Amino acid sequence: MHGVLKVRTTEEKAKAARILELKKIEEYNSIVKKYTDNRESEQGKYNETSLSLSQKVLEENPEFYSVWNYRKSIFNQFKETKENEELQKLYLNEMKFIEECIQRFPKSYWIWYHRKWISLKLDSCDWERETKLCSKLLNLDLRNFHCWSYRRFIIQHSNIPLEKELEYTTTKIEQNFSNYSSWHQRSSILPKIYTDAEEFIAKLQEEFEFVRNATFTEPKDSSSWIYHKWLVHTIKQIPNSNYIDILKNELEQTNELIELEPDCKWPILISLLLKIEIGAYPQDELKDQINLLIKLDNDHINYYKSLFNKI
Amino acid sequence: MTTTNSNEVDHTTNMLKDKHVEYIINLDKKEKSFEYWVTEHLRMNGLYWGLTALNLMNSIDKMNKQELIDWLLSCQKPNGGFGGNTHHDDHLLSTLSAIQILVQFDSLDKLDIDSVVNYIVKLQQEDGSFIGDQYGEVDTRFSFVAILALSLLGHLDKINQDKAVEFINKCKNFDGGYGSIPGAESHAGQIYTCVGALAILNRLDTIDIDNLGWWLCERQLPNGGLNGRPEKSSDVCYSWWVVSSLSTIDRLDWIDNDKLKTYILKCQDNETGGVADKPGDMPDVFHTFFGIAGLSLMGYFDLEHIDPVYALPTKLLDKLNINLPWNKKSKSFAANK
Repeated sequence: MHGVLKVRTTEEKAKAARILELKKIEEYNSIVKKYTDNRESEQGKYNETSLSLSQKVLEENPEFYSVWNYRKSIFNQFKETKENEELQKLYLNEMKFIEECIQRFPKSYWIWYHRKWISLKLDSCDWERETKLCSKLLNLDLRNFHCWSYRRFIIQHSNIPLEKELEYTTTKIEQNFSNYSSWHQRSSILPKIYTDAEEFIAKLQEEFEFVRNATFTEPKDSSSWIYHKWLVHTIKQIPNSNYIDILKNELEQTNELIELEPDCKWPILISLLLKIEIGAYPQDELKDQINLLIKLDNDHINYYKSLFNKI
Repeated sequence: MTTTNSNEVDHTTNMLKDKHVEYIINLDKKEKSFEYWVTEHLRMNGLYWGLTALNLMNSIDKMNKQELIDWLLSCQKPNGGFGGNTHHDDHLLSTLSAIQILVQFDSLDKLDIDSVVNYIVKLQQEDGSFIGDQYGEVDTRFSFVAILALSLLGHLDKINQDKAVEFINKCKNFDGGYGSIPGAESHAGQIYTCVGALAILNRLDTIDIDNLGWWLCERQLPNGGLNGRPEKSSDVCYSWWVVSSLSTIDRLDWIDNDKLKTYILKCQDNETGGVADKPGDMPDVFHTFFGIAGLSLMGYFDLEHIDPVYALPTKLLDKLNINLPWNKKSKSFAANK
C-alpha cells in the first residue's frame, strides 16, 4: 500500500463505509466466481465468453496475474482456430481494453507486459499511437519507469526515428529539470544516434552546455548533475577525444557556480571529481574541498572520507 | 480505534515490537477488507513478509506452522512451481517465497526439491536471463529470485551461471546501478536483486562498488528516509532495498544509520502496530517487514540479524551451511577470515 493516508473517522462513518465496502466485496467476488465457474465448465475450449468474463475481473483487479495468463492462453488457442482477420480484430480490442486498464493502473507490471505481448502479435502496430499513449501517461507521472521502458520497447520495434525521441526528452527536461528519467532516456539514445566519434564528441560538448542550463538554474537538483557525470564518463571512453581540455572548461564553469552558490554541495563535489579526473591539483586544495563537503553534507561523511584515498 | 493516552511509549524513539507482533498475527483474523480480496494472489509473498518479520522479533512460534505448511503445499502446481495462492498460477516470485517460508519452518524436507529445481532451471533463457513464468516476461528480479531459490535448494550448478552474470551486467548503468532489462534506468529495488544475484554467484568483483555506493548513499534524504531513484520521495521499503545493497558491498556506513532508524520509527503506527511507507500513512505487512528488516540489518533493538542477500535470519543460513562471505554476523564470514 503506497501513499494511503490514515484518516481518523467516527464510529458511525466507519459503519457506513463498511456497508459500502461489503457491497463492493460481494460484487467483486461474484465477478470472480462467474469467471472461475466458466473456466471450470469450458474445459479448455475457449470462446468469446472466456474473454468477456475474464475482462470483468481484470477491470476490477488488474493484479490478478493468473487472469492475464488465462487471456494469453485464449489468444494462443484462437491463433490455431481462427482466421487472421478475426484474430487481428480481437488483438485490437485487447489493445483498447489494456489501454483503459493502463490509464487506471499505470504502475502494474502485468498490464504493461500484456500490452507488449499483444502489440507484437499485431500485423502492424500503430507505434505512433503507442508513443502518444506513453506521453499522455508521462504527463501524469513523469517518473513512471514502466512507461519509459515501454518507450524503449517502441524504439526497438518501430521505425520511429531516434531523433524524435531525443526531441521528446528535450521537451520533458525543459519542462522540468528534476526528471532523471528523461535524462536517462537521453543518455540511452544519444550513443545510438551519434555513431561517428567526431560527431559524438561535438554533440557531447553541446550537451555540456545544455545541462549547464539546468545546473545553474537548479544547482541543488541531483538529476542534472548525474547526467553531467554521465557526460564526463562517456566522453572519457571515446579514443582521442581530448577530453581533458573539455573537462578543464567544465571545471572552470563549475567553479563559477560555486562562487554563486557557496553552500551547495553539488558543484563542490563535481569540481572535486573533475580535479581528480584531470589530475595535478594541489593535495591541500582537494582536501579542503572534501572537508567542506563533510561540513555541508554530514550524513554522507564516510563517503566523503573515502575520497581522501583517491586524491 | 484506541485513543492516544499520555502513558503511551513515544514511537519516534522506541520500536513497538509487541504491537507489530500483534499486528502481524492478526492480519488473517481481521474483518476481510476489499484490499484483502484483491490481494489474494499475493498471499504467499504476504506470508513470507509477515513470517520473516516475526522471526526477526523472535516470535515465529506465534504462527500455526502445520496449518500454514499444508496451505503452502496446496499452492504447488504439477510443474513444480508455486502460485501466489491456491488456484493461482505458478510464478518465480511466489516460488521463492514458498521456499523461504519452508526454510524458516525448518521444513524443506516437505518439498519435492527436484520438481522445483526443474521448474526454475527451465525458465533460464539463452542470453542468461530468466523469465518469471512460461508467459515470458524478462526482468533482473527473476534472475535474482531463481538464483536465490536454487542456492537455498543447493542446486545452483543446474543453470548457466556465467550467462546469468553476463545478462545482469548488461543491465548495469554508468552510475553503477542496475535496471530491470538492458537500457532501463537504475532503481534501488532492482539494484538489490542484481547485487544479491552477483553476491550469491560470487561475482561481487563485477560491481563498480564505489560508484554504486555513492549512488545508493545519495538515496538518503534530509528527513533520514531513503528514496529509490534520484529526486523521488522517501519510502520505508527502500530501508531494505538500499540498506541491504549497501551492506552487501560493505558501504552501510555511507548513510546516516541513526537518521534512517528515526525515519522508520516515525512510520510505525502507534495504535495498531505495523509500519507504513511514510509517517502518517496506513501500515501494511510489506512495509512492516521492510522497516523491521532495515532496523535488523543496521543492528538496532536486538532484532534477530537478517542476511542482506537471502533476506532470511542469518542463523538459519548458517544452519544450512550457506556461504555468506559478505556477512560479518555469519559463522561462514568468521571461518573465511
